[in-house]
Amino acid sequence: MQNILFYIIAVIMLVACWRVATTKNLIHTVLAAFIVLMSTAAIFFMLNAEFLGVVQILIYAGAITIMVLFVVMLTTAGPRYEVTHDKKIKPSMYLSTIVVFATLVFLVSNIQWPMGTTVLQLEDVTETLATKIFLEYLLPFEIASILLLVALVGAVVLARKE
Amino acid sequence: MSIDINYVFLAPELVVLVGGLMVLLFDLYFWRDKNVPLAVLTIATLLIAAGLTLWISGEEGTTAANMLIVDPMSIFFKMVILVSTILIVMLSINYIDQLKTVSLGEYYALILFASAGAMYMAATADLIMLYIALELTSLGSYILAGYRKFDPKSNEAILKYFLLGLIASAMMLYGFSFIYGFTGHTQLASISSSLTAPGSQVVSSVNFAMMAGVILALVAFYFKIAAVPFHQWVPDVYEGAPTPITAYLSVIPKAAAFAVMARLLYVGFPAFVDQWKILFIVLSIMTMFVGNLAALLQTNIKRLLGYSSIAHAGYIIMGFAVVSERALSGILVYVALNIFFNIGAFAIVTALSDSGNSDTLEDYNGLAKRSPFLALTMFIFLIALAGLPPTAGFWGKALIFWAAIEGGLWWLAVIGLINTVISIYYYINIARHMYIVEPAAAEDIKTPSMFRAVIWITVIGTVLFGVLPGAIIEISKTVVKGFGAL
Repeated sequence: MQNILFYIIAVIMLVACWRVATTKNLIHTVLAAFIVLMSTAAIFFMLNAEFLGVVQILIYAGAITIMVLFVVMLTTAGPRYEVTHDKKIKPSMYLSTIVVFATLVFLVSNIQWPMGTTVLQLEDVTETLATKIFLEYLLPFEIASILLLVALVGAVVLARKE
Repeated sequence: MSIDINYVFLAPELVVLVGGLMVLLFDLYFWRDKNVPLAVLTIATLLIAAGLTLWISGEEGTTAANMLIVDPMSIFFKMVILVSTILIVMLSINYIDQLKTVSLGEYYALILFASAGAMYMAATADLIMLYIALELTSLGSYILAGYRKFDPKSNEAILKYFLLGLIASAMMLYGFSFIYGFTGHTQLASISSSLTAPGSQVVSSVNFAMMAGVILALVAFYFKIAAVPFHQWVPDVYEGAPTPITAYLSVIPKAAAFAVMARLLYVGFPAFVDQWKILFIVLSIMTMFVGNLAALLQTNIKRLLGYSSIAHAGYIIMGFAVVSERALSGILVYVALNIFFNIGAFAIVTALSDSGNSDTLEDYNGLAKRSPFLALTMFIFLIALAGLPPTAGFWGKALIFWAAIEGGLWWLAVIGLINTVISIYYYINIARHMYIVEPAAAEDIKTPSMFRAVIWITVIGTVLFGVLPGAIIEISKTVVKGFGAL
């Protein structure tokens, strides 16, 4: 049952990814990206990582998708802008995609991942995550706030009228 | 549940971060667009941080749940980063007036934040902390590279640097996911011990997952040090960025990336020594040749120095291809002494472009007549960049080549020597423009005092360490002793 569900989600995700890369209409690209992010959330839920799943929906599928839509609407090109691909770079695009894909397939199929038998228990996932973030990974967690500040300051610097 | 935090160990980075916040606030409330007080505050912050770093230099340990490491290696690179940041800030004081930006405080604050990120990179052995630190440095440098907003070249620089940097970070994270997925650890020491533990199932089937992980994880650092084939951003970004920031990019993120590479390879993955040797030999040869041959064709001095810094990365990578104490200490000496002649050369480029000249080689015509001081110091920096004695540029190269010959890779050292000869051609070509070609304009070039100060410091460093390299070589030897798998 779980397997069948996984394959259904995976197929939806792959088709949506393909649409993100190929569609010409920017709004359609954003919507396809939304589907990719939602299916990622679904996979998190299937793995009992319900906190990550909720965060994925709230932040990525919700906030970031809306923000990207705003950007598309507010730029001068507007939502009717059509993405065009330079014909000259198309062969190298396909070539690099195929090479990377082949390498990854080769690698992943040759790896024997260490298999665990423990399944995450639904009730401790969030708690475990919290203790990890606030004890083990406290320093990176705090530095991330400076990182966000730098992003904020940088956005203001770049957007400001000289 | 609690963790022990040793605030003394955390202090140098914290001081730099707090200094950055203070610069932002003072710019907002007290010193609106006042260049000199903000720069003095920035330099004072960096000096305090350097003092604190020296103060803890005798100690060893970790803090904040092993996220931050204090050991001779991290102290060494932190000092390199702090000293070069001070020089870059001094170089910016006169430059930024001419830039007439409205975001003055942010400029200094971003330099501080980016340097703090570089310091964290040099002092961590945890994959998550490494990622956050790398992003902190990268975000700061992306924005600084685009500070000349009126110039389309600067816009191009920031866009190229940003997009390619994102791809490099993404590949690194993908690599980390392989490493974590396979070993279940984010700490390099635990990863290493789980790989070498006898009878662990990880060892038997280790090859592909870990190889993919390590290679992908290294991509972000190849990108930062501009190793071929991750160098395409260098000429455009070096040309478009404000010149002090070009100097920043050619020293600080590179030093941090070399520190991380040393830690990844010697602490994290000494089990793969045979594989990464081959990788680094190939990369080193490609990087040296591409950098030097492309530099021959350049007519813009910033692009030329960009390609020459690619070539320098190639010589340093050669040190990773040879696994020995001498090779690693050669890398340290190279990175440390590089700050003098590299920043010095860029200081002269800044001084010239500040006095209304462009950055083409034609503008260096007859520099000896227009400003004998700039021409002579530039000549010294060029000799150092070419790696000839009696300048600081000689010793790093000499140690690395010596280590290569000792390690049985004499042919790699020969390739390095061939490249050094190629590089002399384009360095001497600049000297020819300065001394032999007649100038187009005759008026003298005025050099503002801060540029003079930076040039004096760097030229004294270049010559002094060139003649008396003993101290720095001794320091690098003690730093290397007992590091990681050595």
